[in-house]
Amino acid sequence: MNPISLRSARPEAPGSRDASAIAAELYAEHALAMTRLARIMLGDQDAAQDVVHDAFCGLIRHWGRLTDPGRAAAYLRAAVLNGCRDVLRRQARRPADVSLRPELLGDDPLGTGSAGADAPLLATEDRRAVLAALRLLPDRQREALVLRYYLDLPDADISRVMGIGESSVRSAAHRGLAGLARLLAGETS
Amino acid sequence: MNRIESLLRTAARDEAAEVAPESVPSFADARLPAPRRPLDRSPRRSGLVRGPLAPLLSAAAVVAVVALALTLSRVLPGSAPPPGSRTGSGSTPAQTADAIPPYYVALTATGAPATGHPFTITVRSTLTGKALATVAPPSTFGTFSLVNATAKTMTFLVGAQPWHPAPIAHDPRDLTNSAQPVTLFWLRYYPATHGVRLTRVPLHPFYGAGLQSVSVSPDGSRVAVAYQGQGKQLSMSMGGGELTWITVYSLRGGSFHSWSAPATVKGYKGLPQRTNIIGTLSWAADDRTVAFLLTAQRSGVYLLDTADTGTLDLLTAGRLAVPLTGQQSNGNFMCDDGPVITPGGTDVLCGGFTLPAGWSVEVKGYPRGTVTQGFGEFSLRTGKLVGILGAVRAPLPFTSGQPNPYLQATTDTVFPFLLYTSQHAQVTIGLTDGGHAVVVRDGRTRRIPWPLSIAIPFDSNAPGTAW
Repeated sequence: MNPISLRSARPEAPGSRDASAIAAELYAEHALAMTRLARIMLGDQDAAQDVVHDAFCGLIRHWGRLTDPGRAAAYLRAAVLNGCRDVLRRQARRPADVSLRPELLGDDPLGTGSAGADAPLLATEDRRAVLAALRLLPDRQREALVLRYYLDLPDADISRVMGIGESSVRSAAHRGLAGLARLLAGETS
Repeated sequence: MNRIESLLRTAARDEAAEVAPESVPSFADARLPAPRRPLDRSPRRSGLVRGPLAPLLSAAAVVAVVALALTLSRVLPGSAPPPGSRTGSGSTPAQTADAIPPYYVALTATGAPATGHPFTITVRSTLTGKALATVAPPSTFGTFSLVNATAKTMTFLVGAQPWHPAPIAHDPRDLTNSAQPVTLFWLRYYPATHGVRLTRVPLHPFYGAGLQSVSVSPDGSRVAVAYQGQGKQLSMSMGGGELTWITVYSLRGGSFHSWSAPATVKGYKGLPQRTNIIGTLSWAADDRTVAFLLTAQRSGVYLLDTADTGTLDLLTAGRLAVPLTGQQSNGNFMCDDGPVITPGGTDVLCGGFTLPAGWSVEVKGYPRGTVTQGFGEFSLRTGKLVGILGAVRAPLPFTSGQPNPYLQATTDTVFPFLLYTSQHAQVTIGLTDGGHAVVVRDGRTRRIPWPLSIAIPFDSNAPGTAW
């Protein structure tokens, strides 16, 4: 099941609903999912909430241009990705040590064979390493990977969200995975 | 699916699961702006020119505007950046850290007298005093009760309570909401939209009676809370004895540690004296030192090393950095509110006034007549008074010969209160001269608009503001 519901809000008959009520409904339906998406992209809850808040403010600011409420989710998703991109660009991208424990790159990817008392802690550290490496990737590769492997979107939907062709999506995802593997193996270039 | 894909999928889902549904503010708490136009209206067509030549004409217009701007920039003299501007290539780090903070939040009473009405929070411009946003408490609360600053300019720590207006006793201090539990929230202000977002701080509600001060560390990871054991629940939980204590909670993991001192000690001439933590707790930039003003056997500004968890004794873990002889005076300066340690960690400032030479407050009470009031600056290295910022000569406010802050519903008759100091103490904001707000910047004083509607929080004698 997708972490974010892909069900679009049903278009309302013109003038049949109060705009504030629709905004509240959209917020209730999407705020958590968008915050989670931003958290994956940024690794910071405060920053994620800021991005989502800005996305909803943007949606409401451009309310009059939104003729189809069904497009609100797509707008929000794109706005969150844009906001995350801006945040990451503002942050200094210092080379980080994101190497994983070697066994995770071997035959036991989740390290279950060596689970000890510190397994939860190690798993948390590994998760941080993977996501830290993800955030070092170029924007397009990072977004393609998150949309594909977190939201499970098909390439056609990813291309619409990112505004690029499907072949570019496939290329970005392929390069992103390769880059991720290099970073997790400790290669800096 | 290869290993990297599996790792990525697992990591993303685990990270997403870290965002608990209750951590996302509700639509009401998110304080989003209201839609200005109904959804069903057609989008407004933008642009003055339509047709096939529109792109060319638009491009020509852009070129013309840029050319005009370049021309004017050579003709017109350059304008200085606004006061408090935090950006600019020519600013040094020290200048940036000592800029006047542009916004503050204030508890604002919804009626008069302030003690009989719930508080909202108003976000205001520092230099103009203009109200930029008004925030009502979340729907399950009736009033805000405290505001405090964080290291982020746009983010504040605030407390909300249920509202119980009925008086409890005849004591005017009980005409408040002080006993209600206090729940903490982060308040984030968005200047572009004048929007505000409230997010609950992951801490349990605090029993309101006896809650003296709440302060968040500069890195936002820990919250220090000062209590006095006047509340029934607190007394029972601590075995019946009244204590003054400071608890530091970690927001990352929930651990905490408390340091306490007896609430009553032998004071002047062996008489019992309450150990009072006065005013605010103040974190240093190292994220581990907390400064507080304590009246006790050895009164003064103490520095608590919060990494010292080997003791429970507040007076052992705390180092007396600025001794205040007598009740609350150092030399001839008497601190009247809590100290604020400069983020640089070199000085402590507090609001207060000078005493005549040889004057003993314990013997003679507070001096009548005109005294020098302002913000005393003490060196943490020597413990000595370095200077008085924003000094003015004015009589002290009195009621029956003693200051009575509980009767001050507004800030028109208060002692000098230090409200804010910057990293290098070059910018200091406070109340002086009978309740007027001033900014002291590089030794020069500037008055700023100060709305009298700003309220004094429950169980406090300081105006509820935070920069």
